[in-house]
Amino acid sequence: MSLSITRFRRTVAVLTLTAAAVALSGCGGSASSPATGAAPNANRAAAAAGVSSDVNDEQCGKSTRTIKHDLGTTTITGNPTKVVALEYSFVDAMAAVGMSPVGVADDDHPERIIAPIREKTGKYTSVGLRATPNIQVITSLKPDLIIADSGRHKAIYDQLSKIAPTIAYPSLNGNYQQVLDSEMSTAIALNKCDEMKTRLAEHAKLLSELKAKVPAGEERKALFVRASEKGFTGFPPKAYTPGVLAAVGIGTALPDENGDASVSLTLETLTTTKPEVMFIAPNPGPTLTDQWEKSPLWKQVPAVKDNRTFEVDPDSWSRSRGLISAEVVATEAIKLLYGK
Amino acid sequence: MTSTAIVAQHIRRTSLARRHPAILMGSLGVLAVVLSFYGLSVGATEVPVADVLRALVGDTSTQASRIVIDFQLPRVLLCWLVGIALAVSGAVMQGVIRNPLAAPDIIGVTKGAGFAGMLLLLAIPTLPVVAVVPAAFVGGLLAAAMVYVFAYRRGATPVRIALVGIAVSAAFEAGIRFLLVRNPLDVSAALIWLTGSLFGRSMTSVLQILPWVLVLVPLIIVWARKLDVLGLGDDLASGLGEPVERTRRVLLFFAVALAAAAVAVSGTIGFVGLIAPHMARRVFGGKHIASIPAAALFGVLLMLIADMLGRGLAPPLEIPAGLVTAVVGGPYFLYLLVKTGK
Amino acid sequence: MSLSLETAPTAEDAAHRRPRITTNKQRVTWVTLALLVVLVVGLVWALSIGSQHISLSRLPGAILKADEPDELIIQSIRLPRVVLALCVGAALAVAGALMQAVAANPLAAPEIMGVNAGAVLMVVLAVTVVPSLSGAPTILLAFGGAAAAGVSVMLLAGSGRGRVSPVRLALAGVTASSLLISLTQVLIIFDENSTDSVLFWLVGGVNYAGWHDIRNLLPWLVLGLIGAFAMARPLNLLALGDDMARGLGQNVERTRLFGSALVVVLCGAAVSVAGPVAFIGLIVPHIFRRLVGSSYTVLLPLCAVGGGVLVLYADIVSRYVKPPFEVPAGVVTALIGAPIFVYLARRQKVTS
Repeated sequence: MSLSITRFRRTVAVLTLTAAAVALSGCGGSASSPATGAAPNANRAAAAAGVSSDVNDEQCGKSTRTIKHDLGTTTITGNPTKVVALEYSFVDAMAAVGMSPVGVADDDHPERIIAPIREKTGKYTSVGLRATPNIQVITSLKPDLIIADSGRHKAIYDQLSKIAPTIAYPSLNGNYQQVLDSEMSTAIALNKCDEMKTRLAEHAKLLSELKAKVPAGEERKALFVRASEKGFTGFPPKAYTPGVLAAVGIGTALPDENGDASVSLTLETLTTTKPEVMFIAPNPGPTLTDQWEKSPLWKQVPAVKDNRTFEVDPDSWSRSRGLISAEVVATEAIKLLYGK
Repeated sequence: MTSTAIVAQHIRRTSLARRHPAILMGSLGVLAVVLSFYGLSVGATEVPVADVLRALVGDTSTQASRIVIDFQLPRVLLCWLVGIALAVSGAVMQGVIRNPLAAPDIIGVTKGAGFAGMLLLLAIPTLPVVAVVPAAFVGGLLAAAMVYVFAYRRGATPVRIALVGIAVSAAFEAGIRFLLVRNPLDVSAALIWLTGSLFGRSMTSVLQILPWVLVLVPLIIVWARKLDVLGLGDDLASGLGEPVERTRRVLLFFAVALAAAAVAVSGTIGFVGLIAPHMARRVFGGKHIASIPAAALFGVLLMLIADMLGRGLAPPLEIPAGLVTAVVGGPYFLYLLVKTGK
Repeated sequence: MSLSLETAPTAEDAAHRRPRITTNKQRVTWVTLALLVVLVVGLVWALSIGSQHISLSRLPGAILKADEPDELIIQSIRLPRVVLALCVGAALAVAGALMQAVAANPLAAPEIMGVNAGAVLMVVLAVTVVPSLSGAPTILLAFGGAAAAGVSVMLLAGSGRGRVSPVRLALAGVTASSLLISLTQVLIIFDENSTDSVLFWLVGGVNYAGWHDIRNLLPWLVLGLIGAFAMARPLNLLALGDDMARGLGQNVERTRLFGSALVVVLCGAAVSVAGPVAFIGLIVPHIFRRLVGSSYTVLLPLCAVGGGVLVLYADIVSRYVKPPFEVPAGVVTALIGAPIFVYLARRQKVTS
C-alpha cells in the first residue's frame, strides 16, 4: 500500500508543480492592447479629423446604425436620448455633442467630472463605482444606450445588453487615439455625426494652434506622473496623457519599449530618465514628491533644475479622458511651458 | 480537543431542536424563502412584491419584472447555491479533519481558486470571462491535492492537513500578490473578485455551479453516518470497520469540489464555510444527518443577508458580499474560539 | 538561505518540540562569519545596482561625502534603501523569534498571528480617513492595530488552557488575518487610490526608502532590539516549560507580557514604514534555530542580522523581476517564504 501511495503522491506532486510552473511562466504576457496608429487618416476627405480609419462613419445619419465596437456589433435605431455612461470619458464625448447622460458611474464622486464637462452636463443619477456599476439602478433609468469600458465591463456586457443596446470602448486602458476614436463612434451611436465632426475639427484646429506655439527646435522631453504617498507612477508614450502632449508637440521622456501602460519610478530611475519637464498629478495627502524635494538629488533632475516642474490636477490630466479633457490638458501644458 | 468536543456537542443540544428538529428545520427553510423574496425586491430600486410574484409566474412584460428575472433571480439563486456549497463543504471538512476551525479557506481551496482565477483575469485578458470559472475550479482542486500530498506522512492526519493547508494557502496568496504586482492595471477589479461578490453574475454562473450542488450534496447526506463514525477518532472508526483513510479521501474530495465550485463563481467569500456548520451544530447537535442540511440552510441565510446588506447599505455603491460575511463571520468566529477553548 | 535546508538532520523533529539550550560555540562562530560575508556581499551588490550605472570605486567616497550625482544617488537613495531593508528585516525576524518563544509555539509569527494585518489595516484606515496623516503618528496607530490583533488572537486561541496547540494558534491567526485583510482591501476598493499605494499596503517593500523612514523606525527598533536581547535569559528559561521556569524563579507572565509588547513595537514600526513584508518573522528564526540551536542569547542577534540580510537580498532580487523598473521586495519574500512555511508545517509533529 505504501509503495503505490508513494508513487501516486510523487505523480501528483510532479503534476502540480508542472502546472504551477506553466501558470507562472504564462503570466509574462502583457495586458496591453495594441496601439492604433497615431496618424490621422488623410485618404477620406469626409472623415472626422484625427480619427483612425477603423471608425466606420458610413453609418452616419442612418436611422438604424450598426456600430462595431470592442465587444461585438450593436444595432441602434433612432436617436438615443437616455444614455448611461460607465466611464468619465463617455461623459466627455456626450458633452462634446451637447448631450447629457441620465446616469454616470462616477464612483459617487461627482466632483471628479471636471468643471468644463460638468457645466455642460445636466443632473444625472450616479450608478455607483466604475468597477461595479449598479445594474439595478441602470435598469431603473430605462436607458436607450449604454456606453461601457471594454476592459472593466467585459464580464457584465451581456447583462448590460439586456437592458439597452450597449457599446464598449477602451477608456481606462485606452490611449489618446483610441479615446478619440471612441468619441466618434459614440457620436455615430448617438446619431450626432455632424456635430462630432465639427467638434473634432475644432479640436484638431485648437491642438494645431497650440502646437504652433511650441518654438521650433523644441527638444525637451516631458514626463507625466501620478504621485501618491507610496508611489510615483510615470506614463510612457503609449498612455493617454503623453499621447495628448505628443499631439501638441511635447515629447515623452520615458521609453516605449516594454509593454506596460505605466511604470513605477524611484528617485534613482527618475534621475536616469532625465525628464526636462515634469507634470505631476498628486493624490490628496502627502506624496513622495514632498519627501524627494528635500533630497539634493531631486535638484539634479533637469526639470527641477530648470524650474520646469508643474503640479496638475489628477482629475483632468488622468482620470478624465476625451476630447474636452484633452483640450484642457493641452492648453494647460502649453500655458505652463510657454506662458501663452 | 476534537473528538471530545464533538461528543460534547452530541449531548449539548437545545431542547426544542432535539424534540422537534423537523419543525425548526422547516421554519429555517421558510425564513430562507421569505428572505429570498425580499432579496428579489430589495436593492437600489425597490420592486413591489406583487411584481416579483408576477415575474416568477412568467409575466415579464413590465420593466420591474425584467429586473427580477434578469438580475435579481440569478443573484438570489446563487446565494442559495453558493451558501449550500460552502456550508456543506465546511461541515464535511470540520467532520473529516475533526477540527471545529477547519473550513474551505483553511484547506487551500479558496486561495488556489483565487490564484487560478486571477491568473486568467489579469494575465490573459483576452480570454472570455466564462473561462475563469473552470480555471478557478481546477485551481482549487489542485491546491487541495497539494495540501493532501504534502500532508501525507504515513497517512494524512487531520491536524497536519490543517497546518499544511494554511501554509499552502499562504503560498497561493504569495502567488496572487505576485500577479497583482506584475499586472497592476486593474487592481480594483481583481480585489473585488478576491473579496468575493455576486456582482454582475447571471444565469450562466448559476448553471456552472448547479450540477456540483445537485450531485454532491445528496451524496454527502447519504454518507452522513460515515462522518459520525470518523468523528469517533481513527482507532475507533477502524475498529468499527470503516476504511478510514479512503473514506476521508472521498469525503474531502466532495467537500473540496463543492468549495471550488462556489469560489469559482462567486470569488473568495470567506467565513460562510466556517460558521454555518457551527450554527447548525449548536442548534441541531452533532449528528451529521441533521447538521449538514441545517448547515446548508444557515449558509443560504448568511449569503442572502450578506448580499442584501451589500446592496442595500450604501446604494448605488455595492459592498462586496464577501466583506459582509467577513464582518459578520469574523466576530462570530472569535466568539467560537473562546467557546471551544473552554 | 539554502544552508538551512541542506543541513536537515533527521533527529531535528525532536529538537523542535523541546529546544536545545546547549550551543556549539564553534558552529556559532562559523555561522556568524558566513552571515557577515553574505551581508557584506549583499551590501556591495545592493549599493552597486540600479538604473544608473555607478562604478564600485565610487562607493567608499560616496558614503563619506556626496557632491556629484553618482555619489548622491548612492548616499540618498541606495544607502537608505539598504539600511531600511536591514532594519525592517531585523525588526520582523526578532519579533518572530520573540513570538515563538512567548507563545511556546514554533508556528507563531507576526504574519500568521494577524499582527501585520492589524497594523496594515490601521495605517490604511488612517490614511484613507485623514489623508494628511503620515510618518510618526501612523507608527503609533500601527502599534494599536498590531497590538489589538495579536493580543486578541493570543487570548482567543489560548483562552482556558495552559499551552496553546500550534494548529489552534495558526487557525485563529490566519482567520483573523483574513478578516483584517478583506477589510483593508475594501477600504482600498472604495478609495480608488493609486495602484502603487495599494500594492504597497498589500505586499510591502523598501523601494521608496528615505532617511526619514529610518529616522521614524530607528528609535523603536533600538528599543525593541535592546529589550529583546535583554530578555534572552528569561526566554531561555521559558523554553524549558512554564513549571520549570517558575521553579527557577521566573515570573512567567511578566516575561510573556514584555515579550508581546516588544513584538508589537517591532512589527508595528516595521510595517508602518515598509508594509507587510511577508514571512521574515516565521522563517528566519527557524533557519537559525536549525543552525545554532535554541539559545536566545545567540539566536536573537543572529536573527536580527539574518532577517536584515534576507530582506536585503529579496530587495536585490526584486529589481530583476521587471527591470529597469521595480517591484516591492515583499513579493520576493513571500515567494521564498511560502514553500519554507509549507515545509515547516509538514514537519510539525502534531498530536491532536
